[in-house]
Amino acid sequence: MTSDEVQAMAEVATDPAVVWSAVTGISMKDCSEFVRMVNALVLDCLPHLPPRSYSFVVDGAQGEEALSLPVIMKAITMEKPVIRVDSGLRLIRLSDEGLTMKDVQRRTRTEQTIEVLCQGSYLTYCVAGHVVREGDLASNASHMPVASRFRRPIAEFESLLNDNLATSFHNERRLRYWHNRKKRILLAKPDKTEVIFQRELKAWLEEHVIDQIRVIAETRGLGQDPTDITVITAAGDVVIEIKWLGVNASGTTYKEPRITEGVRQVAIYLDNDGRLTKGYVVCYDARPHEVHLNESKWEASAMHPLCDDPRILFLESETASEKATA
Amino acid sequence: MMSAVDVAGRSRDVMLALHFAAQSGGTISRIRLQKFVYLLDCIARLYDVLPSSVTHRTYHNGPYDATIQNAVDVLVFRGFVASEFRKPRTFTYQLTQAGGDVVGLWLETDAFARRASAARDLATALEQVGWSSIVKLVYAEPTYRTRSGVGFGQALVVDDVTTNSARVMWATISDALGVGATFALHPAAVVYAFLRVLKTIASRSPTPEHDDDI
Repeated sequence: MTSDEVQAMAEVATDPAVVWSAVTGISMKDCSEFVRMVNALVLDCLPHLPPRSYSFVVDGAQGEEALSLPVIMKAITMEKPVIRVDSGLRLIRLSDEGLTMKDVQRRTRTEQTIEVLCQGSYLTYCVAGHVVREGDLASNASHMPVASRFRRPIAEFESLLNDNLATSFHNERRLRYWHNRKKRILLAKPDKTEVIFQRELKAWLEEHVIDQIRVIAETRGLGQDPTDITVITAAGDVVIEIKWLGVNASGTTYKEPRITEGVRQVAIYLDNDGRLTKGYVVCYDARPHEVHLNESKWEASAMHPLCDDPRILFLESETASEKATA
Repeated sequence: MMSAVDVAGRSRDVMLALHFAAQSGGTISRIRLQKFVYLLDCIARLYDVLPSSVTHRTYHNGPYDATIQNAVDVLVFRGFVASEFRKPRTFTYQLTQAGGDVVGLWLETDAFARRASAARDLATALEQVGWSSIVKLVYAEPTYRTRSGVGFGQALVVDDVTTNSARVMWATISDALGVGATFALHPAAVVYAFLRVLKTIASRSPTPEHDDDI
């Protein structure tokens, strides 16, 4: 056989619609349409879904409801990420079956069917126990997305904060917050000082919280409390209050009592919203190091049972050379 | 020398070709008829059908079997097929009412069930890859590709397993598609895959210079 014949055959043999049609006898037209619909649905839903895996597996039964974003969200939030569908991509049922590649291969081999494993925009097509094609829909990349070592569940909040501090704050790597680094004066424009830290932490949590459904900042209106950040998970919602300590460029100064203010605010949020299952107070400390060490207390009586001890994060301002010559 | 049996066999192929082509939107000219029946011979083994006792041979406009033209002329004479002249110099064919009735009777019985399945799946696959590409598909088919360079009149044995033939190609495709399958593959998908492969090869080859509508 010539090389172009071999190459042409390899292209066809990795078309999931062709393989699925050959294995099951479902018409090529229907198989191709299914693959097209899956790709279109995943791309449409991509901006709205949390970074969680789910899959579509074609069942022999007849479905009813057309698949849509709410159905996929429901599958993810209910921890039933295996979405059984018919060949027309209509929902049959949601299932809590396993979602490892081994599970997918075993399932498709046993049922002689096709399953599409979706990890963000990275799709893996498995037919009759074998991976036929995998790749990134959005970028045509053929490599698996690499798991970030910073991805953690929200329950590891302390580690999430430390990762963020080490990665983004060190030497103002990802954000600027010093108006005058040597005098330890924080920026106050164009954004308010608190917004600088709130925006950074929200972005970090959006990127790295594994079990999030959504991360919301500053809910307002309709009687909602103006929480700084709320992380919504299947196990319940988590509220995070952001404060800063020290001096900013507008002359505003916050000292130790600011910590207790944050604690009280979180207690109110936790009392008012039954969906909240945990509260955190995070204070970004621009005060001198001595003050940070000696004046970082809060009123224990103001603490809500569901609120963790406040995290008071010292903001480094000395460079390595400055520290060495000190 | 062609026999009455050969012509009868090809008459069956012509009528099946015209029936399923009409269902899948194909217009059959003289050249397309030759090409369709040639591809039908290529995939016959996939349906456990013995290939025709007469073979196509290499010729000016691709694989050519005189028995096919003979058969369609007989069918036109007998009123089962209607022909229409198309400028500048070709004919198109379609079944008449009588011809359609005959094919309908065949399809109700098992008489030519496998051959009919092959013709149906081939027509469906051609509809999907495009009827207009049928000439290029045949030119990309490995048996013809190999033999056409030798000269005119070369016999095209499409199911020869000892050479790079159509049969070897679709058997390889079938093996690749069937990895993991616990039941026999459905031939319609293999036929489609076979045509897709030919289309890909054709897209990378020089375009044949002759006019399809001859």
